[in-house]
Amino acid sequence: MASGIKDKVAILGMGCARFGERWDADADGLMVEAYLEALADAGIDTSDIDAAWLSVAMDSVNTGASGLPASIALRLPNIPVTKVENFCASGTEAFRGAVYAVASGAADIALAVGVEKLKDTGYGGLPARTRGVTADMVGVQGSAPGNFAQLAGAYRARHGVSRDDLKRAMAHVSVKSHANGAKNPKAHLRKPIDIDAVLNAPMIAEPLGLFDCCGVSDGAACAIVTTPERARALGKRDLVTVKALQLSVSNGWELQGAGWDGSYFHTTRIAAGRAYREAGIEDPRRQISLLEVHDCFSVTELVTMEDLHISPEGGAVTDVLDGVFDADGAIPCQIDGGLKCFGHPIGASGLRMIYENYLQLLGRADARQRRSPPVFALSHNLGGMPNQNVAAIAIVGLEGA
Amino acid sequence: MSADDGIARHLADHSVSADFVDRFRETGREFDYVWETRWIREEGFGRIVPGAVSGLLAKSGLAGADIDHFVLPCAMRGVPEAVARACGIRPGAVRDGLAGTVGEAGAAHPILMLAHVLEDAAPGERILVAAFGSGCEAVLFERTDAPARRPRLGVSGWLARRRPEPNYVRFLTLTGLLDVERGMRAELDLKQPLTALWRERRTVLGLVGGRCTVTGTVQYPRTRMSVGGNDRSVDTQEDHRLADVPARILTFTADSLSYTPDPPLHYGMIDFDGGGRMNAEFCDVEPEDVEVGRPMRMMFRIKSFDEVRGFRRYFWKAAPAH
Repeated sequence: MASGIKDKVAILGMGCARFGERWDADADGLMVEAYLEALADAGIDTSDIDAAWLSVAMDSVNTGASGLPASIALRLPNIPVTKVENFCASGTEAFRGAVYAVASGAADIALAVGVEKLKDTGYGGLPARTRGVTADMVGVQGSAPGNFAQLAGAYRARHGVSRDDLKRAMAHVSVKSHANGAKNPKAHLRKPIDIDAVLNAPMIAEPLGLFDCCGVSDGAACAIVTTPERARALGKRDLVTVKALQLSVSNGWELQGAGWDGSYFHTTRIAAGRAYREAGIEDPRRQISLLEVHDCFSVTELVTMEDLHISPEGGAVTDVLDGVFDADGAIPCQIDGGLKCFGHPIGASGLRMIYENYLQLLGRADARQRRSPPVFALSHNLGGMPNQNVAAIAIVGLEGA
Repeated sequence: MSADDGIARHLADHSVSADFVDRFRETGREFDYVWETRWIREEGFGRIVPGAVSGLLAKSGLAGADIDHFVLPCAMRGVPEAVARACGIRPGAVRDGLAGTVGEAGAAHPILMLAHVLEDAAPGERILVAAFGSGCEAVLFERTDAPARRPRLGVSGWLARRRPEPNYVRFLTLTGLLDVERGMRAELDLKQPLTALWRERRTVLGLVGGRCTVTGTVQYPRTRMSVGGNDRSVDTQEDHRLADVPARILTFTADSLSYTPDPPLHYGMIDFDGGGRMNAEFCDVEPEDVEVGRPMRMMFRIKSFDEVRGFRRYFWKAAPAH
């Protein structure tokens, strides 16, 4: 029986570039921006890093393939650099590579860097691209909003929620994230909005309007990890350690099998169960202090509250409207603005979530710092679409928690 | 109409050739150049068709009054009736040319009208099909005693599902007659690997999935290892046709972001009766047609067009079942 990752690896330093429409920066520049912050935070030199993982999801429209872009941008000393891609969960995948390398003893200090330079495509939204030879023949060339929008009708059918009630709860999700993003100097979207702006916005993919969709951004984020012993030897106090790292990947059951009704994420439920067991968390609603979830669309965040076993099934609408996940609520969700407003440079997003959780745990989140000190912070990073996806969960917390 | 007990028997045919140039179109031209319709009506339809029909009747030893269904495609009003009168065919035998519902289907029009006739022709009834163009071709059929074999939809079924397009600009756009800028999302390279199309022809063109011979589980597409929950059986599937199987909507959206010539793009997941499901584009739908649980049926349609190389992809879409 595997013993799990809990407390075997500590975060030594993290960094995050300013997200947004970075017309001024290329992927190299974004990686350097995040990396320099992480390096200074870690208090080490590049020569101390033993191995690196680079996450980019759409390399063909930005960095190009392989681990080379990170090695060259950061002038890494000819160490192993592995490029990973797992749809929008790529950032957490890079983190997993670095953390597992340290936990195995193969590396003493490892680097995870995620980047995406999306604003050279010439249009809004994610690039239209092939889904593979067979899928292009028998699948649907849909968009991300179109794929995720389908959660809404299925959720309404399952739980008997009216279109207006669901739309209003989804709108609350976005209003909350805009309020949070406004306090975050690195966020892409920093303008507070009201519920009418959400409800009256142009339709992108029924029933998702413009403000139900996250920003498509340029950005990079970075983590440097090591063993708790090495972190202490480097003079670190108040260590943030990895409590759980789990990944669950669809095997075709949702899309091809029978029983899934389209209203939830099968993989998130599995990954969450495993992550709580790995972290030793028995009552997530009581024990998790902060949530950073994959709010690519408002409805995704809403159903994810149930898939993470925070809200009871069918209870997310009530919890959202009750403000449970607002910045001053019981379990703030997207206290940094989330994908919605911090932005979604795909390969960087999983690392950006961990970055925020790390800052919050150390009390370094400035204007957006959670009022009572957090203990366990969860990040949920999802790639693909509801019927076929990759769900990644990372739980971090203070050492000893 | 077939080697064995077809629903109609071919009795006779007769052709008249005439270098009657009433219209022409050079190769590569979009449209016909057409001469005055009064001349076509009087000298063309009015003289050439009765000659051909008379020839056919003489060959078969029948009189005009023996004809029960007279098919003569002609977009000009009154012409089939005038020809029938000249040939001694009863006015009631003249079939509607479908001009008000179909328009003009060109070379396919006589066959389309014949298919329409065969939906309701009674055993023993005689059907005369004539088609005009550089002369006239006339063919005589007799409905046999074989029981009617109605197609899934047939001409009447398709006409019942028709949707008039009152917006002429939209009509021109959808028929490719207006050169419109379609935006960057239309630039996606849709090159079809022909090797894969051949390999997967049953899956793609036939909508054939798999049915596990051990558990009975149906899935699409068929794969070597059965989908989870099915004991991961290997090589236990047999072909299972889904094209004729009714389905219901499981999830749906109307996507205004993805490129489609006719936005928004409607799609979602459907569940087939008896098992199997797929992610499918919806066709022939308006927003009010789409809801969880709504019954659908599969339709074989153009999936996409590779503009760079000029290749059409075909696949199945889900349409309202009504």
